[in-house]
Amino acid sequence: MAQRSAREARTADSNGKSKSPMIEVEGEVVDTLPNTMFLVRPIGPNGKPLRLVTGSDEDEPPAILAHLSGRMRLRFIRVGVGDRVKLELSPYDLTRGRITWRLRNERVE
Amino acid sequence: MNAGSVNLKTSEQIEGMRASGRLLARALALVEEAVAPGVTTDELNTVADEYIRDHGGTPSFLGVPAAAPGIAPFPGSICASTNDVIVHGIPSGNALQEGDIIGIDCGVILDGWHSDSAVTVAVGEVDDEAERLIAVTRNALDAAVAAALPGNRLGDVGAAVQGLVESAGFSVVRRFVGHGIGKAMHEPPQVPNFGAAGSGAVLEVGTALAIEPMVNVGSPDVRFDADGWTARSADGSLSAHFEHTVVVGATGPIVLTQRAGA
Repeated sequence: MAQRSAREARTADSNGKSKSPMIEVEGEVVDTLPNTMFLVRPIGPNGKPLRLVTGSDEDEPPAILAHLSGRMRLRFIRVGVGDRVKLELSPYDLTRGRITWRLRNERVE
Repeated sequence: MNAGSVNLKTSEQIEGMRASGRLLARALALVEEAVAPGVTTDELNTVADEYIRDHGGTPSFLGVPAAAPGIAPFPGSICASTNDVIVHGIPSGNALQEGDIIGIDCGVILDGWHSDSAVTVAVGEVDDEAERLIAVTRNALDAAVAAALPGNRLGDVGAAVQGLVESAGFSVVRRFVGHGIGKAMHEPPQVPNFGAAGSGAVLEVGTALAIEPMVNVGSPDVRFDADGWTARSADGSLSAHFEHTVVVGATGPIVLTQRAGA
């Protein structure tokens, strides 16, 4: 019988305190813009593009305008087109995000 | 947190656990054989419960207290987790349908020693994705077991599962983890099915672990039914679960719940 993860329980607690938990998704950088902004296409865990905003009727789900997190800027993490990244989105505006992590690119086929 | 330290088992104690694991493996094999369209999960529960009791063991899941307050103890001797149920499905009068997949998780106490094992099987013919999910999850367990070597770390076990599962395009459930096992069903340490290779506690000879990858086709998120036990994939996608009780031996991992021919 599986045990509940202690680590998971802890994160659940801290999420309970803050009013707006961040949504974390993975994405692929499709364009680099000035001012360390990027266009990122969200990708679901199954590797398919993720549609976050309903109501837009284009075939391709819209890309997210994302900036680099302060910590990544301090550490000079370079992000380029084609990189897989982790994004944090506010539940209130799913069209903008913050890049918090550049993933190792071994998952990209 | 992982309160307390790992209880390392002596070779005598491992023999005790081996007997428990063997009984569980035979019970699970019987349940696996009984799976067919039209069979209810209650009936599967009875198969396991009777076989274990007839052979001097006690089903360890029955009456396990819930992790959250206000929820009744677990009412079954097996967990029967169909389709989008990840783990801890409660046996019921609902009949299995052709094309379902069902995870059967069971535990035995024999002479005070716990063993814990699970298998996911197809009910009749299932579609390609379900078949692939089952194969990937089974392979992930095999990879995790192979990583349970003395000197390796817990993170190596988790990374073995995560690497295999995510390269197949599925996701690893993080809400639940494997666990140490011995005189109690849940002992330290917790055994996540994810993590970075080379991180975490070092595995020593005599560490007994229940390694149990839980894999979803879609997102790894979990939601619970009103019964407080049944854990489903949040997006309703299929989920599979395999588990063995394994001891880290000096010469390699010893699987205590290996089913004959499996």
